Amino acid sequence: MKLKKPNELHLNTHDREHAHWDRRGFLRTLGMAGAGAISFGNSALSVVESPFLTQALSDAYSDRILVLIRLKGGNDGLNTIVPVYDFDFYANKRPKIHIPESKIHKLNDDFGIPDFMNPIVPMWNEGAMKIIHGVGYENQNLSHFKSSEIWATTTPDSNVTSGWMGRYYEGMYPDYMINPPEKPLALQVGGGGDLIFDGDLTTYSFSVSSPQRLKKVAENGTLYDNRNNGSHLHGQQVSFLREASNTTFRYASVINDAYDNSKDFDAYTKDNFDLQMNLVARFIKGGLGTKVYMVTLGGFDTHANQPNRHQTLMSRLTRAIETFYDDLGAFGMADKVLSMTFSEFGRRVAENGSSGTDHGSAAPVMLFGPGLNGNGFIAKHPNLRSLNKKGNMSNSIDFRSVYASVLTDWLCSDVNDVNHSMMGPDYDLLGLGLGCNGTEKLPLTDDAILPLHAAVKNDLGVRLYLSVKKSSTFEIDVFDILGRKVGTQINTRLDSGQHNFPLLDVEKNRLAPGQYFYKIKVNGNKTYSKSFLVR
Amino acid sequence: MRPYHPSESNPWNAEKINLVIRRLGFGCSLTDINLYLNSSPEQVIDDIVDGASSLDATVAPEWSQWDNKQFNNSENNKNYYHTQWQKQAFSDLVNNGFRERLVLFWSNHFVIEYLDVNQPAYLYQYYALLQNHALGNFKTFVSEIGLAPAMLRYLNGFENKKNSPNENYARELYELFTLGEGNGYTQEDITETARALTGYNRFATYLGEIQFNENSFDKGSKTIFDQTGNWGYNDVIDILFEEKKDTIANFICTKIYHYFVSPQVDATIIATMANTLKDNDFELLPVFKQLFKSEHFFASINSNVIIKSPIDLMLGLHHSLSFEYSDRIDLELNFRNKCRDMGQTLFSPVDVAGWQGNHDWINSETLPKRWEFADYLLIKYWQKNKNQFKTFINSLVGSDQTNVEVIVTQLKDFMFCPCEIKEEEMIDAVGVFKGEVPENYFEDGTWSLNDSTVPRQVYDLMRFLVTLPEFQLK
Repeated sequence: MKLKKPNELHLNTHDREHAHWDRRGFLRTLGMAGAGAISFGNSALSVVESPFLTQALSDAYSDRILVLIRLKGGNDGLNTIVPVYDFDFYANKRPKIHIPESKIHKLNDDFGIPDFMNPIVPMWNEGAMKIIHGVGYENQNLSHFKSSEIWATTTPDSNVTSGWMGRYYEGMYPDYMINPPEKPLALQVGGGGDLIFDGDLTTYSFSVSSPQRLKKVAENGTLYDNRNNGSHLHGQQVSFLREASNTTFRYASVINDAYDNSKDFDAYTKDNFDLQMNLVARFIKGGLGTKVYMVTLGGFDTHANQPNRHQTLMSRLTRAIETFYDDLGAFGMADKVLSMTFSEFGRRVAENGSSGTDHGSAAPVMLFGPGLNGNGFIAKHPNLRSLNKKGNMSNSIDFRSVYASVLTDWLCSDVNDVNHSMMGPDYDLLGLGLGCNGTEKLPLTDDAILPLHAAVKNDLGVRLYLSVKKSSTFEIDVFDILGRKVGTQINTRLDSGQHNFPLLDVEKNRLAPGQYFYKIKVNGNKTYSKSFLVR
Repeated sequence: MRPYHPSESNPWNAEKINLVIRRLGFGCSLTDINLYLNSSPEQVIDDIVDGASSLDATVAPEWSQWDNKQFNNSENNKNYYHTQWQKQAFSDLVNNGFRERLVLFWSNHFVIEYLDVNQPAYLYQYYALLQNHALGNFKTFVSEIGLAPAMLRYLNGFENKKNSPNENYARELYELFTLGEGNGYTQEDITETARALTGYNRFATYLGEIQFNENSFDKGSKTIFDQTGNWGYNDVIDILFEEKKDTIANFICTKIYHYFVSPQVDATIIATMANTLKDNDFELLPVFKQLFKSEHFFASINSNVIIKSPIDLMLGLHHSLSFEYSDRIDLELNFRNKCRDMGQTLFSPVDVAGWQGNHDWINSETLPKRWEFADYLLIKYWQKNKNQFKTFINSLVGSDQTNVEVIVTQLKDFMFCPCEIKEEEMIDAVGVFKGEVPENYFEDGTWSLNDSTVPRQVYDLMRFLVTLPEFQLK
């Protein structure tokens, strides 16, 4: 099935300027007590309940959980999933660093994994692992930073500074900033500079830079340790400020509750990555309710001495995954949790002069979890013999297809939310066939309108841009954060094509700076909603 | 009060300069540090205080003496002029350092609320008065502030007439401006003083100059602090400063101490300051100099114990980095609005007693705004010029520095004057700084402060540091 991605964003520089400074402005301020978080003039908003938005939009999807495992630095795909079908060519290109045949565990006739990845063999055998070959994108950028950004924003356009999960949540929780959910939507360890969970207005994950820090938060129920500040005046002031900060962050105590509700599974080691998986498992077992986690394993930039380093990393990764699923399995939740690895790029087919590999392109994405209901390979492995000028393979699957498929097939997301999340070229769904909690795949009908975007201009007020696919009737209302209608309702018929028209006159309606929402009802039934910011 | 003489164990260094500039001005920049590193503390204080003392007042706007009619006939409403002057004041705060620090201090001592006064020219005249007396004679200051039209309006001196006295100003003169609540005056004293202060009830034109009116002045005999006579305005001030010398000196020195040194008073230091004030016939300048040159002022026990006011927070960050921002941004207006949102509207303290500061600045409403607005500034600098983050870190730590912990610590120390943070947050800070750079780049020497990732790394680290609780202290 082919989903048509909106190709017009209608996001000009000016609009971005308006929205931009808030982006990631709340990087560390997620889940703070109520909406006091946001400054809307002098209005006290901390007790405001938005009457219509969150409840309508939250928990529309299943009880499934997604764990994103970021392999930072560019994981070598060819030494992860070894192309046994073309082994001699592979080994020739990599005389010093290839995985010897004797040390390969074959997954089927054509592909195998190095024996240091053996901890995941049982999962493969039990149908709890799938591999998507050759995931990447056209015109691979070989910078760690740029490519990580592309994987996060899903577009090479540097002007886009929101990530795919961020936009996904933005669509689902338009009033997030005003009315943050009681539990963190997403939880992220490491990768503070990562854009994945960033929306245009805010970031949607509770983010800590290290698992040790997360553990402390989980144990203490506070973000800031408030002990041992000293009894002198400085110490007293620090205590006061830390107390105030802790009171302001409310997710810390929710995380603490989940942590206290669960017990350690004792097979985890003290390894840093084990700790991340251990904590994620505890939050899941403890009923935190967060649906998306991201963990990070770094060190994959193996330009030199790759064999030892890569072995260590893959051993750590696979052992932790094995333990994680044993842990969840013992608790009876393994089938609710899908894990997915990804990395900013794979590595060059040919080794370099220092027993390592340089930055490459397409690489496999691994999926784990009994919910997969079977093992197998998806897509075609890229041809090792057909390389670009830099010696890199071309991709078989666009990474956006993987994201969209996981959202659609695992999290059972609505097509509109998925469309909102993805940018760039058209993407195909992979048809992972994960059943979405037993129900059939959501029907992906042609929607009447896509995309939606409200642009706030200093002089013109708020304009709404939309492209209409089928001539339809549109009822459009604008609400303030209290759910009160502002401006007059627009009720009109629009033909197919691009439209933009004034939504609201900022001056005339005396709009205070702040967040507003519009709701669009198409042909009296399907409703769309999105927020915009007036500054 | 022992003067501070640098020694090997107590050296003059960036940390000390940071402390002085943060308290006397708003935030300490690298330029400030380099400027003063080779001077003695004494020279630095003389330089700053004398500089403030000789600084001209802000040029008067064309509407500085307008009356109500002129404002009504002008193109703009009063709000426009109020905003214009608040912006001017922010511009002065940004540019003038210590003198405007004092103006801010005095505007929170001799409080008016501009919306109550509702006459922009009065606001300007009040402001000019604060500038002119900021380092002058406290007695003269008290005397003149009471006749400022803004004050006559705000504390009802204008309504204080023979046969219908209004005690408001008399009470605040003692309670808030000179003696302290219940400190050496009686209700009788207030009533009698109010009578002596009558007469300033005549507009030359409506909401224009306020003149003394013989006819509304109470010519009867009054007894103030046990002195009886036909007292008028000047007599009140003379008697007050004659009879209550010690109380006044102690009261105002305590307030100065709280503002510039610590919320916890040191009685010995206050006593010394008070003596200096009295010995110099209430000239303020020697008191400030003595305090700022003292060992006590620089003592580490007094470092990072004051909670930044919103203006401290914004202007301090802005000045300390001295980064470029887009010229399309009306920074003064932004400062005004954001400080207002954090609870500090210039010329409009929370009540006649002024902002109490310290813990009053912080709650679950204002704290997130503090994070957000500090972040706002950093984002604005970033949007204007990413490379300035790199230039800055290179100037701060030296371009050949590759030890990430050292770099993070030095930036933290610079932004925090230095103040220890918890180890786990230090680890976090290092993690944030390493950011998206692969770990091995730091180990194998690939990474340096010249890398293209450095602006982002510094930017992210700064954004992290401004959210730490300790950043709220100075």
